[in-house]
Amino acid sequence: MDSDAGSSMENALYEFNDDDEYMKFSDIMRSVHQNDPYATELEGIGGENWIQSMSNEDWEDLGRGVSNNTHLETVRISEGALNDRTRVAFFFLGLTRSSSIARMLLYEMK
Amino acid sequence: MVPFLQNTAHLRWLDLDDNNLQSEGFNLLLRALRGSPIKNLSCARCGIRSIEIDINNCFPQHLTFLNLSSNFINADGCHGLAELLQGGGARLSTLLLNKNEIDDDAVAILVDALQNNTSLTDLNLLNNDGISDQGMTILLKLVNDVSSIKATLQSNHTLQNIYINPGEPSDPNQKIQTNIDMATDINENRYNPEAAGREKVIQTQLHSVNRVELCRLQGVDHSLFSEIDPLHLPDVLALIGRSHGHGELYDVLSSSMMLLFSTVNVKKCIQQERDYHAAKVAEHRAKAEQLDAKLAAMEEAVEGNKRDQDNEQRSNKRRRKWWWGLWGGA
Repeated sequence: MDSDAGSSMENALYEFNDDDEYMKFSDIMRSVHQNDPYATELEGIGGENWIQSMSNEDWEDLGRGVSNNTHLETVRISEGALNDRTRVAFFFLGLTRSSSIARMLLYEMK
Repeated sequence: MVPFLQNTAHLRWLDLDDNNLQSEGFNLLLRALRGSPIKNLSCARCGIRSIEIDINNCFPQHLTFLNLSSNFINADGCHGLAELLQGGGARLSTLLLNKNEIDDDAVAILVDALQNNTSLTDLNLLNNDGISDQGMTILLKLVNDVSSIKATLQSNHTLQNIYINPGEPSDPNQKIQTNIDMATDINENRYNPEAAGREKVIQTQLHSVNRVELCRLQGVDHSLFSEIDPLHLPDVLALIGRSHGHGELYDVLSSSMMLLFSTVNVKKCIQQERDYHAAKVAEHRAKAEQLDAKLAAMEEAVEGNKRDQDNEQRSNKRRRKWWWGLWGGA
């Protein structure tokens, strides 16, 4: 009984984390596109589900949002999130047009 | 990524840690950042061995912070780094080279480049096992060279932190590190390089204990007082008394007393002797002039007598002629 309870608790936490990640991704996209003045940092870790599930269109969309955003100052991407050349091209096109990004951290790209 | 780096007008900080850039990728990156306003670049753990820097053509001109820690940079790699540390346009203020393959030769190359550098304040060389006492001593001489007062004044007064692996308290390395820290602390507290240079002279050259230790570490064996003009010694001694107290003044006086007196007295004696002889010369000259005058007077007197005799003879002749004239006419 206790074991089941523990397991369900773990699942709940896991599900909660998944939702949180999903919400985080949605929030990020919305903040970037709406030019939220409080969203100054964009962080993406390659191992996270929302990064792995991003399609090329999502990356292009994110790049477009970044290019029009004037508050985003830091981009922090790590652990192979940008290993795909097509993704890189879409995303960096947006970065090139950015007038606000002053700090870029790209860790552990394989 | 390269088009982005070439066209970005706002990027100030680029962190590419833990990417397998290798030397080729890093050199390509530097060329791509040539015209960018980037100030901070971090490429730790990127497999970099050699660095090709053409300071005029392919280097980000605004770069002030460069992190190359945990790579494979050795003496060859330091030749490239030296390029961006020397010359009037050097702007780099922080260079992280911890955990590389830096040895004593590499340190010598960096130190040579840093001799006239006035921008680098922080140099991290931690965890480079190839740096021995010799390399550490070179670093010490960079920030405080005690081989002469001039050398101390011309040491590097910009570096505020040099990080090297500290040794055990009994280790000679530890003493070198302590003295490096002392010099860099002076650099940090004295924003004016000239003031830092003077402070180093006072704290090390004019402090007997510190000077003895630094001379031993740097292999210097000549006396400080042989460099100082004896006429300035009293001022120097007064400065030592003011800066380090009576105890230190007493020690320095004890060691410089003979030099002080012998040098100053010899000079005074020579001056006195010269004055004595100059007075003698003047006295003899006056005596000679006096004698000349006497001689002249005597000659004039002789001359006068001779003239009188001639006049008398001539007047006798005239009288005789006149008498004979009278006698003949009668």
